[in-house]
Amino acid sequence: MAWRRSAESEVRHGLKAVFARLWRYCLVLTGSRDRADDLAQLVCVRALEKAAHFTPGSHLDRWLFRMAQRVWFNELRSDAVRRGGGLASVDDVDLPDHGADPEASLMAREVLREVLTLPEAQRFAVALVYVEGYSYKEAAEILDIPIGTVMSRLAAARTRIAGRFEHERRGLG
Amino acid sequence: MNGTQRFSDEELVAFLDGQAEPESARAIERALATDADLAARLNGLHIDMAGIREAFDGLLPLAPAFDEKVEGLLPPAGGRKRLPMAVAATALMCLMAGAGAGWFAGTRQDEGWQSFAATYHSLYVNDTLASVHQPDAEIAADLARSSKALGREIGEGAIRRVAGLDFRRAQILGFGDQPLIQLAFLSNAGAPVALCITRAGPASRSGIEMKRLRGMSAASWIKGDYEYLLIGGHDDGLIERAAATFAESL
Repeated sequence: MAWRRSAESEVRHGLKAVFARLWRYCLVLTGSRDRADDLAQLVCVRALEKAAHFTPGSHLDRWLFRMAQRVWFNELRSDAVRRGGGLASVDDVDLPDHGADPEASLMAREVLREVLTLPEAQRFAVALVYVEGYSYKEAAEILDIPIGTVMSRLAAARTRIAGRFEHERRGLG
Repeated sequence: MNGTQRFSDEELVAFLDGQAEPESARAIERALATDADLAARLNGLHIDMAGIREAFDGLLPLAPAFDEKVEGLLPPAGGRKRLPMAVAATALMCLMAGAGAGWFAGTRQDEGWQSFAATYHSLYVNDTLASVHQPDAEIAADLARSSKALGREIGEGAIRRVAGLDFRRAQILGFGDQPLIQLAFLSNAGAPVALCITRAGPASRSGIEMKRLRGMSAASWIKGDYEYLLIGGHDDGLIERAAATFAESL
């Protein structure tokens, strides 16, 4: 029981610190802000219900990201596809306006669009490794795939966007 | 043999990411000293990592405020779940479908069971009930189980009294630690309609109140220690008439 209380307390008190990053990953998973809101909130509720399975002292963020991945794919994605007519909806992500620096804002939007319109398997790998900073091994555990698959997805993503980034950089410079 | 052919894209990406095996990294570094093609391949895989991270960091302020949008939804420490997960999950699936985007974010738990029942019912379509034709014995058994769970009799005669509502099935759901009985009907127009019954709070009484929940016609009332919600479709006249009949017969 002490273990369970400790685990629950750690999850409960850790959620707030991780929440913005969790939501951002949910945005990458779902491709829309509304769905990201709902998924991130459900993951928080689910995390507390499953807190007994969390190992105190381990990495709450990775545990939550893995949970988000599973909830999205096992419970929600198919229904979203069925009702929404597909998931290629990142275009409706209301990307932030950087205001004071229009050039930086435009560049950031282009970068986000480039990453968010990658095929979803590549998009998840890029988000976990290049945005969240996880190692290949950690990303593989979150995605529940072999490390080699993470590497091939990253290689494919890099090949696809490398030229575009360079082009945009030169064009704006 | 051209050195660049010795390394896969995956190996080169791992090298760029600083995650290559030490032996592989050393081999690539050695080859780079003499292999211009390899350098070109590496250059072709280069992306602006800082730019990606900076762009995505710009998304963080768009996340909903945890204190406002999430904390109130969480189950209390060491406490019960506040709503059955089956209901929460189906409600959320509806939201993920875009039918009610943003509703979950804005809902507080003190809005009560009717909001959740309405959300649950909003997932019903004609096909949910159209093929449900239970034998009389099963209907009687379901009603008996529902009556027992609720602690009061739900007579089949009473629920078949409304012209224009065809009774299809009874289900025992729950809200918090209270049973919530759902009696499902199809209207003549093919709309799914549900009569939901749960225990009322102490000293509660009210007449029939017409309302609109999640875009559906609805009526609620409290009678004899029980709360009732009749919901479904858009025919306010049918719901009002049916509510009056149920309020009398049940």
